[in-house]
Amino acid sequence: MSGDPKPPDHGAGAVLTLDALRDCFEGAVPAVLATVDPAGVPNVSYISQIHYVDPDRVALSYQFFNKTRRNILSTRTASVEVVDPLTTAFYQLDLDFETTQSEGPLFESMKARLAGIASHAGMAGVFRLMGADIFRVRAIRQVLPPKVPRPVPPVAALPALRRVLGEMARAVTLGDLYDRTLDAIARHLGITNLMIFVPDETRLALDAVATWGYTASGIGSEVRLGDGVIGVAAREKVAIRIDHMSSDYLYGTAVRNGLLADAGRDRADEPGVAFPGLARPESQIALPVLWQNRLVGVLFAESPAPLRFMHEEEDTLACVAAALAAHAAVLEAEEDAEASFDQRPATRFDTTLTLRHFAADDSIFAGGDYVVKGVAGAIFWKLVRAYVTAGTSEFSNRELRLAPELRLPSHAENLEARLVLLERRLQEKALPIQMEKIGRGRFRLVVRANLALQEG
Amino acid sequence: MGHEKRPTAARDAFHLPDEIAGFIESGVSIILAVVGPDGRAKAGRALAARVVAGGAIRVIYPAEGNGAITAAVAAGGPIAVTFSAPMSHRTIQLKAMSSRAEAFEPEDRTGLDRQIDAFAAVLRAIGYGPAFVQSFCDNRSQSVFVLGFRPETAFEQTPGPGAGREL
Repeated sequence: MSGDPKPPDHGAGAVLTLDALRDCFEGAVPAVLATVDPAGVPNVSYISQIHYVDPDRVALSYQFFNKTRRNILSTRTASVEVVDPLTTAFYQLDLDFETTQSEGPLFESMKARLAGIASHAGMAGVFRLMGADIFRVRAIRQVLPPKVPRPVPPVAALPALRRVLGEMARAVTLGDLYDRTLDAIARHLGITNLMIFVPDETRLALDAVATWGYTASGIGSEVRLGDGVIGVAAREKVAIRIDHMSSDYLYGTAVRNGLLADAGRDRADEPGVAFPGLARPESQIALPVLWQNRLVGVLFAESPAPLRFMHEEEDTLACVAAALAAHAAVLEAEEDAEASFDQRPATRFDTTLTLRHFAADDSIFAGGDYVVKGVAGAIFWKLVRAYVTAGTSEFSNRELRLAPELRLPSHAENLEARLVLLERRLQEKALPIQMEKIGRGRFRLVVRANLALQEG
Repeated sequence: MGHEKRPTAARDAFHLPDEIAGFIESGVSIILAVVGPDGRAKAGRALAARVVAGGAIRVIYPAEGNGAITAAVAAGGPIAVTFSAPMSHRTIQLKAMSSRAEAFEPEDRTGLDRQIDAFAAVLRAIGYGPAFVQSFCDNRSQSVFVLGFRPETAFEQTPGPGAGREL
């Protein structure tokens, strides 16, 4: 609360900060909101959601233009009483209204949480976020002390985070980094359903490049920008979590079919890999992986238990996402300067693999089976054409980065991520064409069939 | 607040229908706001309410943790009290331009015990854990204060676009 002429009143001797009160804002016990109108008449109501914004500010959900809303706009003050659901301590906060946001990262983050709260309260369809009303916290008072001892958390977040970061630092390739990250989260943080997505800007979608804890790997499954917690986290570049599942954010056949129907397309038109997620998740969290303020991925976790991811888990996974971005940038940048390419006539084999390319979305089918699409599909097509026409089987990232036909966005630094996706899809399909790393920023196509290439 | 002491109000008291009186005494959640001398509304929670002769409302609330409410009531501040049933979400808000401190009466104890038991059963039914429910029930042995007011307006507050309708 720097810059204030008067420090906030935190009560007798105790230094209370919003950071210490965040469990009160998980929505487990409804908060009480008191406002007053210009004539001095009070109003009191429950408030569905108080959102921690930063150490000085909270946001309240504005859902209806009611008396509370009119009072806030006219007298610009409010007071709330919140309960810590773990200790049953009560706190009162005096608030001064600042502004309302009706779009953007904070709004989307609150909207997702509110959808979960509404679903849990049997109020789906009634609760709808119109705006995030942001208040500066003037004073915090503890009005009732804790009565229940705070439970010991099953995982001590900070030492567990340290172990996760330690394991991530051992990765030598990007694919290795993805796998180590998910494995370390599962082992040290006890979160066992995880995915990493990488964005494909050319088709406004994200592709799963690593997964942990699912029956089907789901590598290559697609989430559209803005769809569910993953798509909203990617679009808004903000952590999105939901504590009780809401159909508004569920990935499933119905949602997907609905989206395709909206676009006037039949499901059969849309080749892809099925989303491997839990059938009935209650908690989900998606964290943007940002490097130089650009989205380079999304780290996603889910659980069949409600309220699995609270502020502390969000903080911990946000640190992991930050480390993931930094390690990925370094691993991506490491490339060999030398580039001597092996060119030789293609060997003849007994079997022939037919690869078919559809230019509209760069999707590739092998013997009729979907393999990959988007930028990863374009890369694959370039590789196999070079192999068939010139006998080239060794490639460098640098060469691909400069290839105009790949339609890589000019700022795209996540070429390596797309190569990891392609390599993993080829492995999953057990095709007689595989990729093999032969040095930093270089790889070889290992081909064990004659290739027949078809366009469209 | 006995009937014979009824103050002359600029606006005559709102007549509370029996059905609403029954609702607010049935063991519901009770939250309140009283405007303090600083012009800010103070939020608080109460344990029980009674509708007495003449339509006045007595609100029984824990002394501990409600210092701001007690001070605002001592100054006669305007009051709003919201009664809400967690299962049905039915919510009623009563308002008055003044409030006052009242002495605890034997009937307050009966109402308090009955309403705490009824509301604890609701908390259990909607899934609050035993520790939380026990903590609520412990209020039975708390020191309590009583405030009184004569409702002037009543509002339907059940969540949704219809909330705020005057009854």
